Order: sequence, then C-alpha cells, then structure tokens
Amino acid sequence: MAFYLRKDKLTTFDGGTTVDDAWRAQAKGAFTLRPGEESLSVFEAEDDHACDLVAAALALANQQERPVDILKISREELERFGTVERDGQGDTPIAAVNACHASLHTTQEQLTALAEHLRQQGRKVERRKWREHVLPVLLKTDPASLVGGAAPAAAVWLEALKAKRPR
Amino acid sequence: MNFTAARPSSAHYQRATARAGAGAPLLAMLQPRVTTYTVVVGGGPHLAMQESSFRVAMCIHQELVTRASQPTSAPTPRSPREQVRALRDQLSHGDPSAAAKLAGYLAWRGEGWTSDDRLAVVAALRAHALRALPSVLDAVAACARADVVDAAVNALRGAAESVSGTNALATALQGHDSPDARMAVARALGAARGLARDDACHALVGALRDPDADVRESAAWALVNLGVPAAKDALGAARDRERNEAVRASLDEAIDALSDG
Repeated sequence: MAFYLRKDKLTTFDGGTTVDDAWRAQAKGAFTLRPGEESLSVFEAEDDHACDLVAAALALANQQERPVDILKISREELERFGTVERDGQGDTPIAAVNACHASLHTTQEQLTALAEHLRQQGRKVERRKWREHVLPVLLKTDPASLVGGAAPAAAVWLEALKAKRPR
Repeated sequence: MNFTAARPSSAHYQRATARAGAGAPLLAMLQPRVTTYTVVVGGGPHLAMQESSFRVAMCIHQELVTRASQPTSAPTPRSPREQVRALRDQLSHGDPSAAAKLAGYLAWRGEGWTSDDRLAVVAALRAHALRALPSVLDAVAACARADVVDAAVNALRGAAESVSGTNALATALQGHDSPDARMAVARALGAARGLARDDACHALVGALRDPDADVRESAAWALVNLGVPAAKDALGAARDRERNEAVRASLDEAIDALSDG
C-alpha cells in the first residue's frame, strides 16, 4: 500500500503522544507553510526499498554522509488534511525519486492539525541508517544518471564516496 | 498629483478624477465618438485636446499613477526565474535586502515555482554565502522545515569553501540563538576542505557539547564528512557522556563511519 514520506527530526516525532506547548514549539518548524506557500513536499513510496531510495536521494542532494530520518504517513491520513497531487517536482539528483514527488495542498491550520494527529498517534520517524540503508543504495547509483542543476557536484561527491569504498 | 478630464460635448457627460496611488479606472471614460476633451492638470489652466492626443496623455498619466503606487522604483519581475535572477544580481552588487529575500525563497513551494527555480535560489546564495549567512540563518530560525534546512545547508556550503567563511560559520555555530540555525551551520561545516578544514574540525568538536541534541548529532556527522581521523577520539568522548539514547546510537554509527575512511 502506498504511503508518503517526509524527512523530519527524530526529536519531534519520537513515539511520544504528548501535545503541549513545548512539543508545539519543537514541531513548529516541521509543518509550517510560509505566507504565499500552498503545499507541503512529500514523496510517494510503495515499500521500504523505495523509502531507502528516497533517503539516498536526499543524502545525495545534500552530499552528506549521515542517516536520514523519515516520517511515514498513509494516503488516507494525508488526504484528511488536504489534497495530494503527484507532480514529479522533486529537487533531488535522482530522476526516479523526483518522479514520485507529490504536493499536499493544504492550509497552515490543516498542517498543524496533521502534525498533532501524528503526534497523538505516537508516530515515530524511521531512521534510515547511513551504512545499513543509505550507503548501499548510493553505491549502486550511477553518477552519470544524476539529473538537475546539482547533478555535477553530486556526481563528484558520489564518485569520491565510491572511491573510498571499492567493491 | 490631480488630473481631471471632462468631455463637455458628449450627451453622456463623464468626469473622472485620479489621485496618484488611488488606482482610479481612468481609461473607462474614453469613448470612441468623442473628439474633444477639456483637461485640467493640478488646478491649472484648461486645455482642449483632440481624442488621439487625449489617449496618449491618459496612457502617460496611467503609467505615472502606476509607478507612484509602487514602493520601489524597480519593476516587479513576472516569473520566479526573473525574480531570482534580479535578486541574484542585487546580491552580487552588495544589496543586503536581496539576501533576505532570496533566503526567504529557500525550498519555496509557491505558485509557479519549479525545481529549477529552487535550485537557482540555492546557487545564488551559495555564490555569496558569506554575505548571505545572517539572512540564511534567520530564514532557518523562522522556518526549520527539513527541506528549508537542507536548502540552507547547501547554500552555506559555499561559505565553508574559504577560511574566512569557515570562521564566520564557526562563530555562528557557537553563538546563534536558534538550535535549528546551529544545526544547519554544523552540517555546512562538514563541507570544509583544504586550509579551512582544521578550523571547521575545531568548531565541530566544540559543538559536540551543544545543549541541543540535534546540533550535537549534526556536529558528529559533519566530522565524519570532514574525514579527519583525529576526530574519532572526540566522538568517542562525546559518545561516553551522551545521555540521549538516539544521539548515542548515532554517535556509535558515526564513529564506525569515520573508521571506514
């Protein structure tokens, strides 16, 4: 079953269910639309492999070795708080991941409600570990296949990463 | 500025007054059958005009009204691409307000904005990262959404490419009020290379004692990205004193990753 992924912080969605002012202050950044913005960026995925591919694409976009924390939200949950549109407007250097990008068209009030709903459900972000989940996908990625304006720099970084770990 | 036009010969006599900035619909009074208008400018003498001349005068006046109603003298670019290009040019000429506006567009998801536009914002800020540093950090402090932080990190990596930029990042890492801004700075310092690497390493080792768990974790992984083997001892010490279980597990992984090379 398809679900949607959004990068977030483990400290915000750590499995706790308390929604108080302290948590709201912590979560404020995660689900915020700035004035003039109309949607929240998410990626659609079918399984854990797709989740790892998204994590690798985000690591590649930042050219950083580090784990990636992902919040999973079901389609049913997300559609209670806005309209989901698959638009292919991802900003990563991996075309297949960009194609899975979707936008949640919503309002700030609905986003706040979504964040509080996820918290009350005890939702916890899933950590995609660097060596276990992210790195293996990157090592299988062809630098020549990267796309977008960040592709040249990302390709150089990926080549260096591969050179450090000869297979 | 007052502008009054009357059409005395018409059976459908019309009169309109426009005040600069008020946006009155001046052109609505133009009628094709009328040939002569009486025009009064600022209470001055009356002036009879043929319709063709009157239309030209009205167009000029409309333009003056439009310009007077705009807060800046620069024309407003129409597309996001034009907007980013204009702000980039202003930033390159040292306009600090351009940095703030560009930083406000990091990971922007407004109408008509595409991936290319968002990448152009990052590229523009990155090219002038040292100048844009305060604005980028303010933007992160105001909206610490993950995609905004990621875009900010990419922009700040430009500062990590020089010793002076690295020192500015190190200062921000120590002193910025926002934990999210410090987290972004820590991640950006992981991109330091060459002569800047030692300064970055020193600042990141200090940040392993930051009161915020996300900053400590980001500093640890930035040290992995720096690839300084000597940082392994500092990471080990940080791991031993870490009380946050998730950060401690992450430090373990970071130590292993640094050992990988």
